[in-house]
Amino acid sequence: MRRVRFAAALSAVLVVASVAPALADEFGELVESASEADFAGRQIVATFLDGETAFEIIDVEHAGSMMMTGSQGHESMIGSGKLSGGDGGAIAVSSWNSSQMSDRYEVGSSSPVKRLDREATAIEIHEDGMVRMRLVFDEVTGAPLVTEVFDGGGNLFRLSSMLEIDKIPGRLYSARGHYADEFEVLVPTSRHSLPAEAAGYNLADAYTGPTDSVQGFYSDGLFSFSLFLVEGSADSQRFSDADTVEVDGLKYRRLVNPGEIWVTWRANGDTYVLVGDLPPDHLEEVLDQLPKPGRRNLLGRLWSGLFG
Amino acid sequence: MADVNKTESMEQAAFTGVESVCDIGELMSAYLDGELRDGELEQVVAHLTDCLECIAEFHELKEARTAVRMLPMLQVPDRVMPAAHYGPELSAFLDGELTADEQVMIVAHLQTCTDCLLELQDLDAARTAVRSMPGVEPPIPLMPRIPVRSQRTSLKRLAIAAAGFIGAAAIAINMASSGPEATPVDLDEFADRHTVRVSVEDGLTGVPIFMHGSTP
Amino acid sequence: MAEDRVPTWEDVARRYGRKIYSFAYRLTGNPDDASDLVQEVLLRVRKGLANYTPGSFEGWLWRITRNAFLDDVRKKKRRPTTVLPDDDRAVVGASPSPDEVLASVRLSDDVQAALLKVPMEFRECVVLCDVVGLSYEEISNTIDAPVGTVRSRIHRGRKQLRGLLTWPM
Repeated sequence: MRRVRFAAALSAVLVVASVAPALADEFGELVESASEADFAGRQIVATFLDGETAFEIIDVEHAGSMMMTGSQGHESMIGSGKLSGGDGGAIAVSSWNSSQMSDRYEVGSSSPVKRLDREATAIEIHEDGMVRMRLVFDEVTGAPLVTEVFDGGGNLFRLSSMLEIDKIPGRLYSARGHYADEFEVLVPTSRHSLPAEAAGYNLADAYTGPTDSVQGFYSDGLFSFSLFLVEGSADSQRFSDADTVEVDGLKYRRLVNPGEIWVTWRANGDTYVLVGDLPPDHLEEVLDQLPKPGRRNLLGRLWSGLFG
Repeated sequence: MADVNKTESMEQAAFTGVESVCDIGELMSAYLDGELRDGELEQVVAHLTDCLECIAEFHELKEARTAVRMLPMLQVPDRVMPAAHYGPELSAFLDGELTADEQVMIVAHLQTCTDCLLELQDLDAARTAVRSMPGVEPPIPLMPRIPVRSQRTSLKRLAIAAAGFIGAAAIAINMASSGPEATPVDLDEFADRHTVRVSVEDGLTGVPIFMHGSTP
Repeated sequence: MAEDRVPTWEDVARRYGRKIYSFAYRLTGNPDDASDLVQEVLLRVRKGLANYTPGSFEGWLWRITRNAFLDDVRKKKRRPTTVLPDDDRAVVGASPSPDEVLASVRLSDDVQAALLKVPMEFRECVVLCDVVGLSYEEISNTIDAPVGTVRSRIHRGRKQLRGLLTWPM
């Protein structure tokens, strides 16, 4: 099987599933028109966590249901459940279950604002009386101009903002060459031991993953994560750059990316990798309800015995 | 502008200003602007010496021209122009030391200021370069406590270092506790699998995000 | 600006920002539209500079400006324009007396109001000539029309304008 690697991988910070109608007619409309918006521009995405900032500036195009991103000459295209990179790798999903937006969220009323000197509509999503997400949609194109996500303490955790926006997506139409002919497909599986729910995030789908792994896709209708369970010991060189963080006294290795957080740990002899856009307080609650890292292993004890 | 062509004649009919009686007409404006061609100057000057109506019109044209030329040159609103640049704040932005309001303000500024955008990218590249310098601290996977942020060292190199430190006993323990070797996983592929699944969420729209560190 | 040197877009912003803004404001009477136009022009300049070959820079710039303006007009289908006082946006000479400032503001308001009543085609040429300061030939290149047309439009624009100005000069 061809190894898939997208130089410019895509993700999504704004994940909005079917919204409870009573709450959010207007929100639903804004989201729908955003999903159909035609625009091109540049966007900054930044995550602020524990005194660190991870950011990236990318070119973005959106037309119909297709989206293209590019940075430093690498381009990726996503749409209709298919993701393909300029270098030929391609992956697709053909089967999935839908998610409902959790009732812990409350959609506030909208207000007219100006961003990028454009008429726009701002709308907030609250959780427990605190603002969790603030979105600004462009009046003309419908594009999401700004998305702000806040942590449990009301601090800005993630910010994505268009820096420039144009009406016409140009490259997308001339980039059919980027679309691959063959896709590696996510295959659903029922043979897994993943929990059905974690801290308000429901397991929507499980797929067989690469390297003898299982991928569980969890969503609360606003944020989402995939939990990869790899049998035995597994590691990625990427994590050599990771922070070690403690949650409830247990240690995890964490990488903060502009749009997502990656976390890995070992539990019950297996390796877990979590990839998602959920805010840090949610992440802690989720980790608390997933299989936990064992107590410090022999090597760790030996290490601290030797070096303090 | 689109409607100008079809309305031009209407506007002429509705026009209430002075009417030209002589055919030198538009030459007078060109005269005022020093835009006459060869031979036209003589024509205009000769005509103006004996046509009182054209002299009156000439003065009125001159007044209109002066009125527009006297209009003050306007100052562009600050928010439109490339503003004063942020220097130290950009580093603070990268270090997460700004308040939420300040962070938003910086991003708003980046929307109009290419200088600061480029500087931010330079600063970030410099930070990354510094972090990539080889360090001497113990390998992360073996470090039980402290986050090691400034290290970017390959597992292979770390394994050699660890072997040097700990010796055969530690290796034996390692084998006993976690098997002979960790399976390498491709985080990019994991992330891609997550992304493609996210893309089909019901009623979903996505703000696309370039994933940091997804380049090889 | 030296003809053989490609300026940066910040150069353009500094040198021409006020002219572009004034051009747009005099044509539309709307400060928001004028601001939008300056941003749009600077954006197009920034994108276009990569492919710009040294030549008549001003001609190139004003073609971009005019095209951006036309696009904006088409997009907004020209909502009714309103005239706001120039007040603090006006740049008046060194230390004028309050009376002078007031008189200047009033006068320019009248002229602005009159300008907006002149058909756009004429108004555009008058503004390019008397606000921006382009020659007929430069205007001809900018609006892609013969010099004779430019000459005629400027003349007719001024005549109409004078008829609309009620005060004695």
